[in-house]
Amino acid sequence: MDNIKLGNFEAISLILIIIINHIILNFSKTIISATGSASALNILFIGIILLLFIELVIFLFKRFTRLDILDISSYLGGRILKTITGILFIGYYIVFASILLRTFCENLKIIYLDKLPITIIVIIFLITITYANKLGFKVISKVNMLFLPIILFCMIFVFIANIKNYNLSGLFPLLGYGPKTTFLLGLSNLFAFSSISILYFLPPMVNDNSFKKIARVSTILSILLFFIGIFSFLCLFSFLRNSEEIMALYLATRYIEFGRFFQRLDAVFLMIWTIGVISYLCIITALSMHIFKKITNIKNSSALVYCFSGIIYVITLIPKNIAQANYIEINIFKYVVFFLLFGYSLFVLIFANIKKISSQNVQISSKTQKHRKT
Amino acid sequence: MKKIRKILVRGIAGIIIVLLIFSLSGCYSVQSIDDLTYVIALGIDKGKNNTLALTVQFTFPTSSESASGEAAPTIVNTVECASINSGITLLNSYTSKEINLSHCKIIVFSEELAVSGIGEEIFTLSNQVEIRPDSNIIISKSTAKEYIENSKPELENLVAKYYELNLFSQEYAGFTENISISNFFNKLNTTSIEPTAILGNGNKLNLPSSNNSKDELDIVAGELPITEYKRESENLGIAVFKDDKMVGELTAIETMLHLILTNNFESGIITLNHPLKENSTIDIALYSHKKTNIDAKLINGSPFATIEVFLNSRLLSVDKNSGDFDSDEIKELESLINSYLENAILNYLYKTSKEFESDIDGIGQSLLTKFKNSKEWNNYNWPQNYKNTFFKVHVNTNIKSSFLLSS
Repeated sequence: MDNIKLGNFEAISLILIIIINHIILNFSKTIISATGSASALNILFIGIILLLFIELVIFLFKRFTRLDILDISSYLGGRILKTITGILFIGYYIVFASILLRTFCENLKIIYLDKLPITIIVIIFLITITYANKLGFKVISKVNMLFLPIILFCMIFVFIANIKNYNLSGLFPLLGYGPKTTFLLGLSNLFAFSSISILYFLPPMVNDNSFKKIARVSTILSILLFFIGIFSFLCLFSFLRNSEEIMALYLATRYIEFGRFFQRLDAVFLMIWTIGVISYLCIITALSMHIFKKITNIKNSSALVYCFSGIIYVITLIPKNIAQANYIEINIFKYVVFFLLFGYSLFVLIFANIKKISSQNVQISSKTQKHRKT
Repeated sequence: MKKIRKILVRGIAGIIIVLLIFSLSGCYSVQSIDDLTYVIALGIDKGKNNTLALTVQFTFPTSSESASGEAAPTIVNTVECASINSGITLLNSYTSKEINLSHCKIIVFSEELAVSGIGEEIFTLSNQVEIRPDSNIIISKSTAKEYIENSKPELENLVAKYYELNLFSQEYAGFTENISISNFFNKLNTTSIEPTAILGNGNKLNLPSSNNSKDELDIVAGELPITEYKRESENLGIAVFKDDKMVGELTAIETMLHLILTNNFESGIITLNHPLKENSTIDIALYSHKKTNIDAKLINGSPFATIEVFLNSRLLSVDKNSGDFDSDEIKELESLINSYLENAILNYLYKTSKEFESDIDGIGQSLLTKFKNSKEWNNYNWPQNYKNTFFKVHVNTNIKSSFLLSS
């Protein structure tokens, strides 16, 4: 994977597919339950903070061209820190990909596959993921790039086709549960943008000059997508916000109709989102394998996919029901994202920069001392 | 060695594929259209021996083979049950096919049940994946069973199509509204607007002669003055709810005013006394022009709503003098329509606020924008305060022209 070069659009697609999956799998509902009618305002606010954070990340990566967070950890704390960083990211990716897979499978079971055991539904997904990963990361990213516009179009289409059902009163009261909840406690909604974790691994895969552009464009598009999603859910039916388990976006598709002829288009959308979820899971598995390969220095990682698929299968079946999966998603995911993406990784980057600057200063001072001696 | 390994891998893969084909294709538990029976109408009454009496109307499986011009037969079954789901399960054990609700067009509740609250039933139905969100919700003044049994279409062969088309009269008559279960459920979940449902009647009333003095449009379902008919069920007016309990009903003309205020009005006809001719009436067709503007605010703690209505109109009653209307007479006619509608809307709004205490027109949605946060809004308790609202209505009607004979 180190030798893989991604184009700008390919790299942006990797980040966007994660955001789209987060919207499909009810992250917007979690945001709305936290900040109420002020959620659209909250997204704009945390969007600005996210952009500032991304600028900081770009700045911190400046001194480490073509190095990812694992290489930087290795530079900062040697092999131990590199391994810790790797394990943290693998754990984060695999656990939450599994939980999201479980949520999606449970939704599929509720909607269409009520008689099929959840184990079988999960296996069908895992067979696809395993096969795709055998083909390699380049194939996954190319296929993802191919499907992304279709998935994106379908999502936007759901929001536009529902425009007759929009009611702007959903955006009021403007400050939702109050300014403190909207702007201070609402900062926890940053977890929705966990897709930026990909950025920590992108530098070796993209051109030196492209990283900044990819980071900025993908972040802006992510904010825009989430804003459209949240705005639409707020303006659509109020019960979408209160639905506990089922995907809000699926509920929104049930209201799409064009006259008396075109009705019940939800099955089409569900099929396309299934492709989106598979694409997302393939990327996460490939990335986890890449991290594992880097921290263990194994040469051929293709056989690892069976192990990772097995681990995903086991974790997917751990929650007893969809309520438990949702609990993990809402209550644990938020804090893990904060710790790993906005805390730990940032500290690694900051301290690595400090080390780099101090070592550069030492080099300069030793050079000047040598120069003086001569 | 490599060859053996290749053959082994392919063999195992082949076995897995064959196993998957048989285990996952679902052939052993396939559910085809022949195994299902589709409900087209669901009726819910209060039960005599149990909580509910659930009535279901099925299409007859061979209906497509019925002779042209002949109405397709339907089957109506009723079961006494504790809940909708238990009722369907009980019916499932009776019918030879599995009941499927994915083609259910209407859900009928009896007025008796609606008055005591239908929130639980609405939540149960909304939670059903099979139920379409656009299924219509009807409150029948008679029992729901009577409504369904007497829904015998005269101009349609298929009952399902009749249910679908019947409510489109909202577009050209404006005396009823096409209200879906999702619409009802959505309003049930908000505090800024109250739900409404279609008002129906499955047992046409024999009107006493004293009712003749009533205004022509001051009627509800069951009072439609049709003297010769085969079908005894009809929809006219709207059932008004406060939370999940029915608190009143709107007549035909009030329904039209409700549609105007909620921006669902397309066209309708009213009859006024002719301003320029004694003992004569004039028919006016009203059309939607611009969206109704509702601006609600708090003045000294009391809600005050200013409503501005914009309509276009055409004169339908013409005689040989109609072409001679000058601009002053047209203006006089416009102000007559305006004042008639202003009075009617004011009476209607005060009826909803004082009598029903139910904000079915979304005045609260406008007031909501004046509140800073949800806590303030919840503390204000709009559903309880709607009765204190004062209204100011301004109607702008433009007479465009009459039809063919004069302009």
